[in-house]
Amino acid sequence: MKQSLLNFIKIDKRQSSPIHLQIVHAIKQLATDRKMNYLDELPSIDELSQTLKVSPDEVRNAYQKLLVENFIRFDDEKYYVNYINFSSDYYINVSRLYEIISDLGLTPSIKTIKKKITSLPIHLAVDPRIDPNESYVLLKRIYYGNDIPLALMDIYLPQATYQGIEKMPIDDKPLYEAIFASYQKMISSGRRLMSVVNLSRDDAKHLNAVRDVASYQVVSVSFDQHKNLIDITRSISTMNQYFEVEFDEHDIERITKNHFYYI
Amino acid sequence: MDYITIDKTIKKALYLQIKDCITEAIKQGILSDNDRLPTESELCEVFGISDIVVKNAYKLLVKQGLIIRVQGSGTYVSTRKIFKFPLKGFDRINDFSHYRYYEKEKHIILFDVASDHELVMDMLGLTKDESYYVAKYVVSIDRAEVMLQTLYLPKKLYPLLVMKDIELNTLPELISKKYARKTKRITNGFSPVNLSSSEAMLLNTYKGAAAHRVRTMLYAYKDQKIAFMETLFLGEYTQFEVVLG
Repeated sequence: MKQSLLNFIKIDKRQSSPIHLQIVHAIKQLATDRKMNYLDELPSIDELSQTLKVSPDEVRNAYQKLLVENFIRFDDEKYYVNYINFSSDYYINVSRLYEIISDLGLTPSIKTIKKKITSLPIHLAVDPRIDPNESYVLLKRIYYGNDIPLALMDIYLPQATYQGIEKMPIDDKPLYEAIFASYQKMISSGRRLMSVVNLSRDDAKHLNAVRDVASYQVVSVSFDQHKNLIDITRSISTMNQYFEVEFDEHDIERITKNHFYYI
Repeated sequence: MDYITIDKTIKKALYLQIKDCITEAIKQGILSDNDRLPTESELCEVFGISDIVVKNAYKLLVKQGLIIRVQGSGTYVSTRKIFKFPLKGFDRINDFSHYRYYEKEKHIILFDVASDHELVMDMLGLTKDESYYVAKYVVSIDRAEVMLQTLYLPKKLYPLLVMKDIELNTLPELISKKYARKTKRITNGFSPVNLSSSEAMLLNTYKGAAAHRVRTMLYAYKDQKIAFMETLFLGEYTQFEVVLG
């Protein structure tokens, strides 16, 4: 992979844009084009500067910029891609993390680290169809790709609906499949709320990360084909998250005078 | 003050217990905007705790923007709210949930012509001898700072642009009315970031606070780049919502 990456990173010295920025963009482009994936090793500063025939400082500046943006990481004297092209689907469409991880070419695995019957934290009662006074089964799970913790989920399932689910042998299995197999429920609608929070000490510990780093936190609520609640899940991830939303002409026409964003 | 319950027999630190109770009370609406909170001595007296415990709890709540302390007057629930924005679709503007009637303010702090920001030059596809207008402003909703927006416009596309134009028009109005250009496509890239100290100051929060960074590109015909905008939203007070199915 390292060898082929070297050939992919291209710059144009006649361009007015500074060399180190060209390197930054070339590397980002490779990640978005999926020619380079999460945890791939980047060429060393020397290798890249020799191949591109530029000064090592330019490469160092580029890597420094990517490090600050958390796009790459430095471990054991080597640079690695820290960006997961975690397609915008994860945020915008119904999608399954287990499959997303496996689609990235990583080996997905799941560990359930806590199971208990509990009440729903009030800040998770985000939909009027949720009864906060019910009892819930909490499953706290970590999703891994190649044994690296990628996301932490607190899944709340209404206990009345999922009698005995905490005793089922599904600790390391994708949840929605199990729910479909045992309860014939499948997600047909839902909503997601995305906020950015600084990683708490606990979350950071589970994700093998540093606390107080801004991360996307998603609260999702899903309903089955009969509009009954399936679950309420809070998930948080330390992956380099980025997602894109595009608006076409039709959307743009509807931007009103009163719009909050294009103020 | 019955929304505060302290259990001294458990391990959890007292200041955290107070902080969590007040946070919950605000979230549940037991406490609302501008409600006065108990004074330090009132809490000390009722719960038999030291004033340092109360000070620590209030300090955290101030840091999170949930309460404000007014010198010589007392401690109050802050008017800062959690805003919910639809991620897709513009017609659901009323879906700000509880914010049907909000007061919006755009406060410009900088207007300039520049050519030194490499990322911007690159995003707008400008060459070295070209330049761009930059306008930076803080947007408040109901007097609470919600976003910090920096708008970059290629100078060649907006002749005779003045600060008033930015102040009085929304971006689409400016583009379509004054300059008769049609926006064909907009892309928005979302990432989580920690605020720098100056950004935090402008958004009235603390350094390192979590924020959404949205980079927006506006394109005209043939993907001509007509504007680039970077927006910072307070992470914990701004939720983007997606409805599935």
